[in-house]
Amino acid sequence: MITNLVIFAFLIGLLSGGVVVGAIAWAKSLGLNMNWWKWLLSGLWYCLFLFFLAAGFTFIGEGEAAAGWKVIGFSGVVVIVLGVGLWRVLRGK
Amino acid sequence: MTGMKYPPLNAFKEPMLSWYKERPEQYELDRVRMEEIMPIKKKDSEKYKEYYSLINAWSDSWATSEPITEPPELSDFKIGSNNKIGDPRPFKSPAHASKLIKKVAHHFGATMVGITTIEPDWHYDYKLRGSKEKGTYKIPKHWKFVIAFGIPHQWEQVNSNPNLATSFDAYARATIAARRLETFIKSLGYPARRHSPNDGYDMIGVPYLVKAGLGEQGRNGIVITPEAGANFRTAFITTSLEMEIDQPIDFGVEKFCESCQICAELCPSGSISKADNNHETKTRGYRHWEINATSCFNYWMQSQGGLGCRLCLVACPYSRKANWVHTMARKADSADPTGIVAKGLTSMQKGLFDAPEAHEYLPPPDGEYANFRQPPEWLDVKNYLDVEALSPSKKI
Repeated sequence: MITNLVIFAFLIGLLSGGVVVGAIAWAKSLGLNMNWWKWLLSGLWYCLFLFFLAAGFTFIGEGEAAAGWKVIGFSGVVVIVLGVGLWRVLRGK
Repeated sequence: MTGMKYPPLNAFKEPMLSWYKERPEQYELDRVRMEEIMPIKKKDSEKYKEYYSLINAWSDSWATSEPITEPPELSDFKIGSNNKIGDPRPFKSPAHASKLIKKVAHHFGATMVGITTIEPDWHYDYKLRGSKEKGTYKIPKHWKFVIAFGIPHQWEQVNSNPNLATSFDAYARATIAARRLETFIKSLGYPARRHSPNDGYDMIGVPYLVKAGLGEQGRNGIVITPEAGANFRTAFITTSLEMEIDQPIDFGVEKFCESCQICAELCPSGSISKADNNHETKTRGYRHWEINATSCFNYWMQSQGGLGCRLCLVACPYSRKANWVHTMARKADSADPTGIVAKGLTSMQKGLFDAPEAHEYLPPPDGEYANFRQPPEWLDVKNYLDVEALSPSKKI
């Protein structure tokens, strides 16, 4: 039976696949010399980004909008700082 | 086979007589039912009664609801006001009995169910419902097992405590489930008595909930469960039906409560202990967190709307909605023996989830009848009623 959850999971699967394919293509076009640990670090950063984003919007969905925006705001700074660090590592600088 | 002879047509008086004369086919249908159908039904009901034991018990459960007007030795052995319970239907084993009772209780609306044995220390030492005698009594001999269950409040309304919320939603659901379950057990031939919000209790609930493995006692004096935190109301059944019992659980709440004082800090009447632990206070030899019930009740009488206060229930970090974030946090706390996670979560709770301070929940001039959270849209007067509604609070 095709439920909303199935459609949602299908779309998320497509999106996730797109992210992986896009990340590989992007790394190539930017000339990044990726290896296993760089992919691992990138994956961890991406998971962290998704975790905080999902947590923030879960709080908003729960009716705790103030808590949600606090999480998104605080974690946004953390994710950006870590992202800049990761970018420097990936570029080898 | 013939059963009761249906009266001849001319035996009926008006207006029934005219009604039948105009509709002779209806008279014939009624006659056939009484003289032919019912005798067969009666004979087959007797013949197949065991086969239909459970569905009949289930059906009776929904159909009956009598007030408790007699002592346990009488009322626990009756279905309705007069019908004596039948012979007990034997179960394959106590494990089968507990499995069935839990399943049926869930169908009656009981979200969390546990089973334990009777503990005389946990009964009021004064009077049993339905009994005229007052004073010390002995626990009825047929009270051997206790089925304890909990049903959560509606989430949105309970969060708008204390002035725009109620307990009566969960009270009613717990009472209905208890009435149904009591009748179900009686219909299988076992004496049973419900103890529920709308019908009263002959027992103290909290220790039974703990013993039946539903949760642990929290600083707020109520039981905190892994599934709904403290956000639930309870009912119980005492019965002779032998069932497999559950064991108490330890998922870290007692330790968590030692470091978290959110409920005590938020309590408008200061009725919740801020002690480091619950080792000092004992009642009948059982230790517990101390609650000043009288000052708590006095605040109940001060609150508006819905009657009462459940701030300590909704503010408990364990009562937060069971979405993935809070479930993960609770599991992390339970798995951490060091208490570091508990301290971290408590700090996050205070930092992330703003709430009015304790005095703000009080009436003016000390407070402004504040609420923990905004009421749901459907409880907001201005959305539906054409009235001049004066709000006492800037917080709602």
